[in-house]
Amino acid sequence: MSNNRTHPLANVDWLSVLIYVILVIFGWMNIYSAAVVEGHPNPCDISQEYGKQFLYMVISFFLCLMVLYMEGGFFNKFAPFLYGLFTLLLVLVLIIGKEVHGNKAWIQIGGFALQPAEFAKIGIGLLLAKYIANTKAKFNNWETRLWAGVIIGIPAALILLQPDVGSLLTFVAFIFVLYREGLSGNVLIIGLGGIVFGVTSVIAGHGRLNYPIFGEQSGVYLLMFIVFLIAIVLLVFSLNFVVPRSRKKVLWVLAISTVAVLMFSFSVSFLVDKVLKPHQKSRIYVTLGLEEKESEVETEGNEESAAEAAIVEKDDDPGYNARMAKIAVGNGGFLGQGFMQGPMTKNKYVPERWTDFIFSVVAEEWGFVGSVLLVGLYVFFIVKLINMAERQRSQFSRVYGYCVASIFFMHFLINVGMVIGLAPIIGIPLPFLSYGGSSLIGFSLLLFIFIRLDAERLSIFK
Amino acid sequence: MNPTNNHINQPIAEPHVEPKEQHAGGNANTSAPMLARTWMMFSLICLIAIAIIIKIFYLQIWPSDRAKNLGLNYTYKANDITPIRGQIFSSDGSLLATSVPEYEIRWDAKADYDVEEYRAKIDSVCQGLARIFGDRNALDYKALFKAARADGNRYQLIKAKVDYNQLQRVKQLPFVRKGAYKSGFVYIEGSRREKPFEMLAARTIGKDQADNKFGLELAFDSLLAGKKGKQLQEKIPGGYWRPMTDDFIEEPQPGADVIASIDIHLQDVANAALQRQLEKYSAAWGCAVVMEVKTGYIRAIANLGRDPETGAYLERYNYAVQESQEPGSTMKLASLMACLDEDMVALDDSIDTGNGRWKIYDMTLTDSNDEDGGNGVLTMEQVFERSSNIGTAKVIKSCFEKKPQQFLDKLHSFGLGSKLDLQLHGEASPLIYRSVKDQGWSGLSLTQMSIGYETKMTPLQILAFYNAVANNGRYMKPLFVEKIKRNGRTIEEFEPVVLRENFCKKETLAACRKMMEGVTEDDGTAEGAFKDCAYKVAGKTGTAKIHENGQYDYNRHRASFVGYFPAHDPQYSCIVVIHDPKGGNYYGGTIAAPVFSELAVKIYSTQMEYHTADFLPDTTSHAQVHIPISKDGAYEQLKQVLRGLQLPEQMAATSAWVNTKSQGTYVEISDRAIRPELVPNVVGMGLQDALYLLETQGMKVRVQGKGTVVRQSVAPGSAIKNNPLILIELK
Repeated sequence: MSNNRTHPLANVDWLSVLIYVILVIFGWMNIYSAAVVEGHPNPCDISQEYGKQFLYMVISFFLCLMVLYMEGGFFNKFAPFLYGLFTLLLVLVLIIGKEVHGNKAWIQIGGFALQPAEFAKIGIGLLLAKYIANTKAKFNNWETRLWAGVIIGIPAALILLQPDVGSLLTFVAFIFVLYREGLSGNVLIIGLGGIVFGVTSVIAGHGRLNYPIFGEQSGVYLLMFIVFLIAIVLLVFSLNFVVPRSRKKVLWVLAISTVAVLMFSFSVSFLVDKVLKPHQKSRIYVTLGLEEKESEVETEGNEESAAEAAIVEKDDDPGYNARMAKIAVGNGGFLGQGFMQGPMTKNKYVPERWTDFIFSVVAEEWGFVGSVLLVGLYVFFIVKLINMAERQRSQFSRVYGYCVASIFFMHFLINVGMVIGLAPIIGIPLPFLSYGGSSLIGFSLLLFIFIRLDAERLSIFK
Repeated sequence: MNPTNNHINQPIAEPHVEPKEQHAGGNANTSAPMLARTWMMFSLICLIAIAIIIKIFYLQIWPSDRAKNLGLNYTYKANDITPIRGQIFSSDGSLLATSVPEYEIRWDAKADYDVEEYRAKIDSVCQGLARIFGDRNALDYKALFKAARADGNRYQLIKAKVDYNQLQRVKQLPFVRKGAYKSGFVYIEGSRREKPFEMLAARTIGKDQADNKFGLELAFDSLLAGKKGKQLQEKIPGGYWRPMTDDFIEEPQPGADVIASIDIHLQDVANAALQRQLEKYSAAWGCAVVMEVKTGYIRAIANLGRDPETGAYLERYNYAVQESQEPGSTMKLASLMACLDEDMVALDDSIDTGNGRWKIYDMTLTDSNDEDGGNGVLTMEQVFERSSNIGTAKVIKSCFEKKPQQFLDKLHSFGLGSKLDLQLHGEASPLIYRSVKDQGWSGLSLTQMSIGYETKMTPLQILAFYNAVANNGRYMKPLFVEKIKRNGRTIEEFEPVVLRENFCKKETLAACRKMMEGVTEDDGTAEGAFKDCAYKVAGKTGTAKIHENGQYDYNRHRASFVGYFPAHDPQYSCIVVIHDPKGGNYYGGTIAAPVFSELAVKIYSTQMEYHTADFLPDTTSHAQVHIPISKDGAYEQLKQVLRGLQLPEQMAATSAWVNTKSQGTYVEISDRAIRPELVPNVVGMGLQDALYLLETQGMKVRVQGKGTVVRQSVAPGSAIKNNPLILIELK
């Protein structure tokens, strides 16, 4: 029956395609507004960002059309090959990559730069889907968890070597996929607990305390001491109130989790304090509201150092981007300043406003109404993708669809959250809206492969 | 798997519970726990979307959060930039009100200065301050610094209201010279509103202090103030903000300039004449208003009141606009006009005014010459010219006794009962009965009103009425502002406004003007006052008893004269009111008319259009040469240009660098002192000369704007080696 192919464009989910086109064109408009240069008013002027974006749009549309005309089975069959290819690119970027802002994330090809991390997600999505569909893995044993971890972990490790923490963070998306496919909710809860406790550790580690005997040390030791005390209290409690039959098990759990928590707390604090680069460190502090207070205190206290602080280059100030973006968003008001009228945008106050901070342009020029419409459209799009994933008969298509939706969701959440101050400044693009060839082409392919698979859902009978 | 099982597209509707075991089939994982997980994901996404929307709402809409986000608690913030307030000009281009920079000098006792140096030099700093300001001695200044150090005051006020030149001198004092960070001295720039002509029309030009706003400054406040802008600024030590770039987030819109209708020369004449008369008679207050007949533009408005403490006459209150009082005899024009316009009387009708005393009900009307036996039989015209109360009252009584409402309606039809809707705030309402049923109306009211009592009007309202007579029945609205300009471009023009067209018959007008001309002739009440006048003046005197605390004071009067000139071709109308003159003389014809006369004479001699007949254009005269404005600068080049253009110059210069001044018919050139090693004064020069001068003196120049240098950042005469960088601003 599967040989009885209908027209390749039959059953294509045109609503998704329409939303995609709207997002891309709206993004292009905002890139134009953010980057327009006097003397280059043509939006297709190839020497400017908006002109390049137009070119990327044309390339993307062409590639997407190509994908729609391909057989969905190709992606299933060649998933390992694509995964290998993109992973190879990640290796290659470490060797011949161009270093920008301390990150080796770009391969320079002529006038254009390729960012392999944007394509790696496609490879992971396809291979993960193939693995799950073939093994019917439900992640209730360590073996399947391990294999899924390896599939995600290899590109993740390579990206960490660049190091591009932002892109890495979006890989959290795959945990949602695993959860959908059966990974225990406990894993998610442990993850969530880890985030909460990690944040507490970072906050504690940011302060320095004067301990008796040990002198001035990181505040995280106090936190660890408190955890230890709680463990003792729980130990006493369980020795007295837990029935002897299950006492041994409880004690084991208590012991292991105490050690795990202590180690986790220490290593998070150590990682932030010693391993992260200063600008990454400050970004985390700024997001947690630690750094700003500090500089405010300085201004009141010591004028000399405050003077120095004021003179430091804007690029070095971790809070600068965040503040500028927030001022731009606030400047939008209810109806916005109007297309090409946003003063924060026009006067180039917001750095990277056409790439990672494109949402600040939307918010300033289109206001609350525009922002909410965009957020609404985006969320509708993601929900629609999940709904589409759920209607797949093939597990491969469904898992892949979940990967697509989750990746968009993570990007959307972190990117918009960063602009409005809910998330730390993590340099990742807003799919379809941000300027960038690799990201636009990468996300387009990611989406259209799923749309192709979805179009074939009715002709798949296993 | 069953291919017809299509309802897997609706996962919610899937009721069956799958067995735990693995099983074949595409819908293997759409089991109940899996559905729950899908819903968990949906909920998570929705929660996050809601969180994002709430956060955006707070950032963009919620007022307090939005303001905080745009402003507080940041090292960078978008600060409000208050634009320069617009200026007020007179119609002839003189500056009536402008903002000049003014500084506050403050001191941070906890700044990072060298305490030893402070101790060593504070005495000479204080002596310097005492010398520059001369208001306190050095010890007083030192006490300020000591107190600040004792209290740890970081914002001690040393001196407020410091002008730019004083500030430059202070900055040169020892210790202070070290700069803000190393001395703790900080300077707060503000601005002060200044009226270059000080008291002239001060009440009308107004003030814009936060708690005291009035006049044009208040009426045109929003235009003068401009629109606040926003600029991104960064915090620097001491809690001050400085701009990060020259760009604005929101461009401040500079205040617009108001071009008032006032003519500074007429204003000067009116003010001086009024003041002289007020002083001569120790009057309580007075006002003089000159209005252009055809347009209604107020060319001069002087309001002087005696300061009860010093006795000096100052612009204390806008009497002309805000003081509504009984007009007295100036009202007779309106009364007789009502009769004439209804064809009830003619100018040559005769009225018996008797012996100067006429009892009506329980009241006796008198004429001014009742002690000499009165006027006997008068014509209507004579009644007006001699301002006979009895004659006027009798005429009105005979015409309107049966139908007093008609009289009231007539007065209102002349526009007398209505406010003028002025460009200034605070116009007092006129009081004229609308109906005989109004409270207060009595049998006496008709005759009392006819001679200007039981009625209240402001001087300006009376003037507007007389102006309408002068203007052939076109009742013009008095205007104080001609236009609004922004950056030299007119953005709004206030064209003359006709409030009433043909407010009476042509014949009535002619009769009225004839009567008014008679006032300044022999036997008129103002016969003596206009002897010096080159042309005929038409008008009416007024002498009203002052009504205070519910009763008339028979010994105190308000004298007035209102009219227009020249009588044959009215150009200006004018009113002079003098309240409570002392010394026994109180008639409008002797107290107020002389001020009017002086105004008329001076206006005649300064206004060219009146003697166009005497003025023969002389093509060879220099007066025909338009002298262009020349910039200051190098003399040799300037000389060439002027000679090339064959412009006359008047040379008083011997050096290479000169000042120029375009006089009426020639360019005046004078020396400009340029000394080596001192910063030269380049204000007034073009960029080329300024750059040449400064750079040859070894300075580094930064330039802003174009045109002529209007400001330089380093004061002329200071030593160059201290500050080789100079910013010049051109305009």
